[in-house]
Amino acid sequence: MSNQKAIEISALKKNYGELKVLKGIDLSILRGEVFALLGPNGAGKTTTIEILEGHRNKSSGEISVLGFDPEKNSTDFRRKVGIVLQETGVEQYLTVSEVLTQFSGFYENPISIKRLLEITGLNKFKDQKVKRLSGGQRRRLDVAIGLSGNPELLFLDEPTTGFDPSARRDSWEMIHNLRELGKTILLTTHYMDEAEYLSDRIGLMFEGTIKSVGTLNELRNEKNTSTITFQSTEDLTKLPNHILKTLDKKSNFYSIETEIPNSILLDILHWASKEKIQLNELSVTPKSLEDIFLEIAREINEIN
Amino acid sequence: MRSIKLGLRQIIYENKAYRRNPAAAFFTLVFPLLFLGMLKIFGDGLVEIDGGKVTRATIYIPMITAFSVVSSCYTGIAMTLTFNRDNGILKRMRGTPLNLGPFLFGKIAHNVLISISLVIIIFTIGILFFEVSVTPKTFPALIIILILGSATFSALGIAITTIIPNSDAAAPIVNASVIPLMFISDVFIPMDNAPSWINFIAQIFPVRPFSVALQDTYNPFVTSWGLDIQNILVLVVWLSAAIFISIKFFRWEPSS
Repeated sequence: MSNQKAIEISALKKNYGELKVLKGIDLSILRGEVFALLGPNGAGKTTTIEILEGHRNKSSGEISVLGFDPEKNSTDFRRKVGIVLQETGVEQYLTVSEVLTQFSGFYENPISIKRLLEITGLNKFKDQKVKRLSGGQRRRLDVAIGLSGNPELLFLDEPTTGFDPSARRDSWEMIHNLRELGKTILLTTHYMDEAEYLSDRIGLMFEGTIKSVGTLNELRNEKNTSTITFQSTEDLTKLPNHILKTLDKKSNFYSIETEIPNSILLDILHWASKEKIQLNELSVTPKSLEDIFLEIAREINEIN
Repeated sequence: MRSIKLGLRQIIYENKAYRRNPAAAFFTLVFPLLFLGMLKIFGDGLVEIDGGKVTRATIYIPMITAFSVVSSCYTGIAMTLTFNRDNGILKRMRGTPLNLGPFLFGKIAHNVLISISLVIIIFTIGILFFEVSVTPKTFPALIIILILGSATFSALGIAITTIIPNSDAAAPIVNASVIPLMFISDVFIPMDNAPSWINFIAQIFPVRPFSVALQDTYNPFVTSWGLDIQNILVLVVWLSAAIFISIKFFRWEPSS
């Protein structure tokens, strides 16, 4: 069954001297899956991904990437993975298609330059020197280089950090399209909407550990609360007590966070119709990834 | 086979990137030409060397040749490699199937080609404007010295990057390591009247043996075929040490 898994990590630790950057990570990523490591800056995302890429050595633990030990950094391993680092340079004075031709030449079965330009939307810029590309175009070139060897597994370390909103949208489209090529993708990000939009599963990473792993729905169920919100200008102090004590008020806007939205909603509606009280803009929303994220961050702060 | 092909391909890209950066290309050429110009203006007269008197150009043409090879190989490689390391090109390369061997081969070969072009330019100018040349007898020695010198200073250029922390420190470290040596090594001025301890130091380091070996090949009075085995030996020792250090301590990322 292990060939179903692109990446297997168990008890991975990394120390820089006294500083414990990774405190024991366990994770499996399936082939064909798009997996996002989501966490604030300094959570250890880049350290994790760079250990998997073979750029850093682990302190302890077991890792297997496509059946290889990345620490050995064999040529065969590097043929099968595509790496898009957080910050990397390219020869400034070469053109986009020259750079892609150079990198494609390192591989035995590269993706054609034409196709690379098409996937990354760089066709218009193919004869432009790298020096003259915008930040967003440079990042696309990074992705194109990462893809050039037609890798089974693609690492994307913060693919859109520093982008303006439209460049981000474009990049999302591009990464979304990669899914159709059947690639396994491991990406890191500190943007929640990015993780939500792009990935099949998400690992929430805080302070060198993975706090939660799952699909967005699974993560929601783990912190299984929904929020009921409404607006009203009337006196609500007569609400049943069990509702009143969880009611949160900001001017005329009310919200209730609950694990049992059905019955609470039913009670509210029942009471409102009996008392002839008007509730406007009534809604029930599931917890967003942002809520889950902030909640875990808060819990961690409380522990500290 | 594949590594050789990849290494050769790297030369093309190194060369393209170099040619499109006019500033770098300009400065490699401008210094030797500047020295040659100054030599033409101020360099009249005869000087005494082993065996008799020759024009000043007879010793200065090989000195300028030595300067050019050291600059384009040692300084050139140390600087570009440090910059490539700082801006992440090395780290990116490390994540591809291109191995260190072909990558460095491309860099060295590119710089050696630059120094060969410079040597040819200086050699030609020497014949045309200064009427100095090597005799057919010492010509093979000139070629051997140039190949060995280029290889040694390229390898040293890679070796020195292992102690350069980042590109801000590259220029000071590289220049501090080579310019004082050039002054005591028969590159800018002949050192015939220098105290013996200076000559002793100079003779241990590779610049002087290289410069002196080149001067020997231009010496019209030289009786042998122009190779002093002691000079060759010093260069070979430095070449071996540099290769060893480069392989053992090569860094793909700047030190943090």
